[in-house]
Amino acid sequence: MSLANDILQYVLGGLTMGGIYALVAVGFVIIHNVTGIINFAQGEFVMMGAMFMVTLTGIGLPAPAAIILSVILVMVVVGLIEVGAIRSAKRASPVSLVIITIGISTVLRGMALLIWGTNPYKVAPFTEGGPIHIGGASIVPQVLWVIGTTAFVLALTFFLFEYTYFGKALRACVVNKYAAQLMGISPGKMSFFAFIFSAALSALAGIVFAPITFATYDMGLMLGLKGFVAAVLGGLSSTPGAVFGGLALGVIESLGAGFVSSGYKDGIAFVILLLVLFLKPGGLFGTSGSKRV
Amino acid sequence: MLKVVNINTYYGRIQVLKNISLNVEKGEIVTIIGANGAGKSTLLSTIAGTNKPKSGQIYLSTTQTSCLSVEKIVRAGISLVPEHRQVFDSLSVLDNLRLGAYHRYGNDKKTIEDDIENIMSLFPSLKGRENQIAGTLSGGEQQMLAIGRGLMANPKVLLLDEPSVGLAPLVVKEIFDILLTLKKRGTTILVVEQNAKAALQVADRAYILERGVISFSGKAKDMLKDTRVQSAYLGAKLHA
Repeated sequence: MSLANDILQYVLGGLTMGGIYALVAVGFVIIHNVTGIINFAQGEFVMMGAMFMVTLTGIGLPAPAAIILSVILVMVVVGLIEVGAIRSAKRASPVSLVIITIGISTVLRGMALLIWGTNPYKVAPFTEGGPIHIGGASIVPQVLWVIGTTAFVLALTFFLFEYTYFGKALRACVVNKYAAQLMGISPGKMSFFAFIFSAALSALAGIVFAPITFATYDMGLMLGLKGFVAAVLGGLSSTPGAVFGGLALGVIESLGAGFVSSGYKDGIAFVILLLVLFLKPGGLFGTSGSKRV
Repeated sequence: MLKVVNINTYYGRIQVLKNISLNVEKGEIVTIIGANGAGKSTLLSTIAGTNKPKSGQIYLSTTQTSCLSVEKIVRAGISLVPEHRQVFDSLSVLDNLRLGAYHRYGNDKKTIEDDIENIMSLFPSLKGRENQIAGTLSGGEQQMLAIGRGLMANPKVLLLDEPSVGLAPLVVKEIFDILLTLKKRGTTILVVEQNAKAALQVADRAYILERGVISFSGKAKDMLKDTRVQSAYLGAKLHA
């Protein structure tokens, strides 16, 4: 294999991981924008998506039904969490709420351990077939599912926020929560929606990702952190920034793992996080805090 | 139409409003004037529901609104145009207006587009800028947009918090002229102002708020002539 082929292979692998990171990162951004909370349980939403998929395909459900049902189940669980743990503590400061999300993540991981145990599970790819060759690189068909799903979901998110009335109301809440409230837009309702929508994105990420790797009860921890790094890279409040951050992180990690050492793969993500926080704390796409009065 | 009875509002342990009572009749323009920190904005936000009074009642017609959530108060017919305009600055003018009608969007989608037309005829300077991003409008245009957005809620009572703040005198005049037009169309308005002269010229009645207490009330015309008011709020302004 030539160097060019290697690079192509790494970039494709990186974009696949990057798509997953992007979905998780967009989930972070949506919740952060609407509620001001950084939801550290985001990775656990990914894990739940993958694990429900494992169980549902395990009992013989066809893949499309299992996918839809898994997403719905994760949305229900997260909806309950939002009402039970976030909304009931609404007088708490954002920092306290962030700590609550860390607690939620630990609880979810613990429950997953009790339900599914420590065994890694394999999920069948959505479509059968051998590797596809592109140039000098080869990929498994599931990669196309990951990339396709990511693109589709992100397009849907964009459409929702830019072109629907409800999306505009959500954005109004992001731009000026006080004024939005004066229009009769309920911040509680918007927070609820942000959580379940973001949960759906993360669940989908877990579901399409599961056939590529093994699904385990603790897979959410690292995916959540990587998604967070991607979101910070993009400025934490910008959806396109989060997508870029996710893809960039995936590719950099993959190239780093390929050319340096795969042992440093996770380290690279956190070095990037530190560099961004030191050098450009607003993120690569972050806007400055100034605002026209 | 709007009746406030013995309201007491606190920020933490500090009492901002002390036993405030006032009323606004249908079709009236009533103004509350007072210095910085007198509690004017707190009074409006208490009526709008973003601050909750510790005691006292607020009635809109016969509905008691002081115990309702902000969303329900908007639905009941009270719309607050907040201080410093607070338009949704990254959204377009049209989206700002549409969002003003949020609480009735599901029910009367058809009339909303007509209402937008109405607002546009009321504020000709917004015409042709439907798709402009609200944050790029001038201060006066943003104020008009904020009022238009407030009107889109179809309120029974429109509350305005210092609509003149930070605007050039000519624009202030334009804004207050619009309030008169709105009055002619039957809108009931409660406006809080530091610019006492401008407010008293258009208002029917006025209340003076001093350190959380209503110290004086009466017809706006009489107040313009009242020597005490002149020295405290009209003359003082000239020497300030």
